[in-house]
Amino acid sequence: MDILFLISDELILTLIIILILLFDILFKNKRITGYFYILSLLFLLFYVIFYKRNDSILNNAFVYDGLSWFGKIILISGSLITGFLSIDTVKVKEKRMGVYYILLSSSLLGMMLLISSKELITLYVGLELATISLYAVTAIYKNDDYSLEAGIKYLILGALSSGILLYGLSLIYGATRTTYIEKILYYTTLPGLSSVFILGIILTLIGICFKLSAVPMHVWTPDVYQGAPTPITAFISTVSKTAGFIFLIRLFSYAFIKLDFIFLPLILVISAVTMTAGNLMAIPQKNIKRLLAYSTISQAGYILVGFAGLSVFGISSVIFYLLVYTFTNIAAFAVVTGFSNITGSDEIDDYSGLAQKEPLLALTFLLSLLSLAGIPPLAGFVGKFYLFYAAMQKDFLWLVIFAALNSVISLYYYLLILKRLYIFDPKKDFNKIKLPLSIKIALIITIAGIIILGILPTKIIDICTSVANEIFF
Amino acid sequence: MAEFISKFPILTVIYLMPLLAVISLLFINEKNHKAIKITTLLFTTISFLLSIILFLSYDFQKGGLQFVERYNWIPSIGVNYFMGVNGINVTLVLLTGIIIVTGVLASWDVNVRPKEFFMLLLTLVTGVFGVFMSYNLFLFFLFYEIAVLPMYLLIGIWGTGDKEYSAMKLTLYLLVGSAFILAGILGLYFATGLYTFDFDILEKFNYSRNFQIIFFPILFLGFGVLAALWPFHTWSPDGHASAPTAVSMLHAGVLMKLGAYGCLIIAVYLLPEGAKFWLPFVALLTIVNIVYGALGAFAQKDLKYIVAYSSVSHMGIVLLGIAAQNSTALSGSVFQMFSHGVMTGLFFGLVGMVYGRTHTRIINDMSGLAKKMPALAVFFIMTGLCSLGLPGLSGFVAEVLVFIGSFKTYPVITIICVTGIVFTAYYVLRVLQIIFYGKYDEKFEHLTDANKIEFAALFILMFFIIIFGIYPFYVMKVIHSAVLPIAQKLLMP
Repeated sequence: MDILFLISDELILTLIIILILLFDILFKNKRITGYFYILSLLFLLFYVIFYKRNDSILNNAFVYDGLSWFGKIILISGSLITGFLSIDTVKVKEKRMGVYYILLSSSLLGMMLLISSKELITLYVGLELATISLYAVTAIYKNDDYSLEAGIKYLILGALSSGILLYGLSLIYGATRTTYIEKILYYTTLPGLSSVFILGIILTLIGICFKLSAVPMHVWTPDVYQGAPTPITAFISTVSKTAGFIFLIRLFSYAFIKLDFIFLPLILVISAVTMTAGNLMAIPQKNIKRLLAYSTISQAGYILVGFAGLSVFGISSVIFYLLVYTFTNIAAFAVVTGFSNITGSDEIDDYSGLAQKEPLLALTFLLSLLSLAGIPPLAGFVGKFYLFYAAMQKDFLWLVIFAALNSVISLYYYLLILKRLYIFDPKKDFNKIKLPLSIKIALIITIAGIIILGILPTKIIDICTSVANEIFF
Repeated sequence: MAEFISKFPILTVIYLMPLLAVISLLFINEKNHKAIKITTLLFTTISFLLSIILFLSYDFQKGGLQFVERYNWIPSIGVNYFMGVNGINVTLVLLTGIIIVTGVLASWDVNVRPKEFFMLLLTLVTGVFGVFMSYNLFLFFLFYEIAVLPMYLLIGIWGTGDKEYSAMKLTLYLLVGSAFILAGILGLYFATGLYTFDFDILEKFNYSRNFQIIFFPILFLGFGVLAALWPFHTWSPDGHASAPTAVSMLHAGVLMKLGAYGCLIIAVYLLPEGAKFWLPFVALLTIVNIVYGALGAFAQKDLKYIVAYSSVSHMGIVLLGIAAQNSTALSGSVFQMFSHGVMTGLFFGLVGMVYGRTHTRIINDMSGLAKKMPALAVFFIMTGLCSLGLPGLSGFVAEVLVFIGSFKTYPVITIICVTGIVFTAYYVLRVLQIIFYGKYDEKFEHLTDANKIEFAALFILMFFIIIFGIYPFYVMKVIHSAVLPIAQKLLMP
């Protein structure tokens, strides 16, 4: 297959970045940049969906398989909806608006590279491109203390975790003398395991936990989520996390799969601790962005349950849940974006009586929170069911009961929000600013996603399963 | 006629009607209260009539699953759209039909955000209908959750008293239960290794004894929470007392039966070995349910709490019937589900109507009401008599069957439980005497008797109590046809 065709997604995205740069210089009206970003990503999305390729180049360092295809669809859809959220709400100086979209796209480029590579250095480079762009865009509100604090925190802790990850990867290289994942897989089948290799695996896992915002690397999450512009928060919590999980699949469900007796207990413990910690810490939160931050931590815990399966069903359930989670969580952040655009507030108490003032916002919040809690017939239910299904296949009864009980805890604080939305009467007078059209579009897309994935998941689950099958055969 | 019904997807239509009503309500202006209520009533009446037709056209001589609808949904993990009814299901579907129509009639005076109220109520009913018809465990669980969740908002927005606390307590208790159910269902699924959630296949599989002993309590407790099994009943008095009238009717009348139904059809039927091992313990718990529930009702002063505690007591009888493991007790238990459902619906409806007039639910604040509202008093007395098991009303048949059946298995426990009935008689008669026949107070001068709509609701409910009390044979045959296979499975060594 033609190399150019194989990497054409990445090439198109690079072209888009260059064009955004040009648009930024040529046009005074910066909204055009935003529209261009959305339209070009829409094109890219359809291009990726319709031209599925299956090949690899550079000795398997760069592959285009089902996993990277499906991952790209999730990443691009997430970035697209982030675009809708950004156009009318991100309030930075006109001349910095172009930078915003460039950083967003370059982060996306990094992630696309990350999920298509099967070689440790390429993986790492993709990861860094994705994260460094995010450090910068988090701190884009130059005059806002929270935004700057978030940027710095993200940078320092991110750099720390990158260091751990890189150390782990280099130990793996030291033990196996290769950076190619296929060769590492071969190495694990050989008799005799060096302790250096095992240490490398553990350090790599801990390093990736940062991207997943899983315990013990979760501490950055609430501060960064609160300080970053809300569309960026949505982007970090969904798109960036998806990339992290696919990274995890590439290494732990494929390269190290023979060693699952070593790292699986670790993943299960991380999963259980992460979901519990996230849920318990979410309960006392007063700020909606902090609350959702802890909620996404607990979601990472649920997704890790799928790794208990480790088989085809495990991977299939994880990537299906990633798709579901992307729609559901972006929906929640879309509501937060729209609400703070109207009222300028992120306090949960100010949401009182929203159902009577802005029914669409309240309904979206209702659906997305219930979907996050795993209530049928919404997408989150099928997703969670499928994850538990995968774990139960390997007889992890305790983990399934534990995770299901955790969903009940999470429902507690989701219901506290819904109580304010639906039961309380409006406390504060809402301004007369109307919801921007772009936000409405984002809300409707996400609602459609939540409901359709919940009621008619058949097709998508089949795709996920075949994608997962492709990895092994 | 019969041929037409066998081809017509009657089950789907029954549960889709409330859903269609939800969709139609979306297009009705929220200010137009009358249109909202009439639309709701129209769609629920269709469901109700169809559920009567379903009940009458069920062929109990043939027995087994009938009116089956089966399509693939997510075939890769064995999830199918598999609806069907047996003798137990048709009875409970009929019960749901009765309660929803009367519940809508009883909520005719809801004027606060009625559109959202009826939309949530109808969503709830869709879930309940779905549970009673689905024979795929995934589908079952899906409907089960739909039936549980709208309750939070229904109680939270339209309830009375400490409504937010009660709503949260109820929702969390029930969802903890469903967490166990989920684990249990997945356990069943993988134990067979056949990759299907279809009930008819899971039912034929012989699960190992160890598996049954581990998973029976998981499933039974999961459903038992909803059936108000002691000590997991505490959500029920608070929830029922705080809920608006129609929601109390539905919850006590139908949703608690859903828990008992799950206990019977999934825990006991699929895992008979585990059932034989654990049910004696359950029987011990039901003593507390029956006696403690009656004593609780005895001690309460709030009319709604009295009815709520009496539900705990009556659900104890249902669970005792299940624990007794023979066909007489099981039939009685299912019949008690129906009978108690109608009766408690009537009770909560009446309490709501009395409260709507006197604005108090404390029994000592009311007296001599029979003078101003004779019709309500008559209905109230009839319901009370049914509750204490007067022959000629449906409650009698059910309780007698349960006690006869359980006496064979647990004589001592049964004797203790029967004393519960004495307490029931005492508190029912005491309430009736105080609020209707005490000294008439002038402050009740402005009160009116039931209006036409309320009368219709009461009449429908009372009709079924009397007809099934006088002529229980038809419904008994229908129930018996479905209970026999369960009892046989329990009898097998």
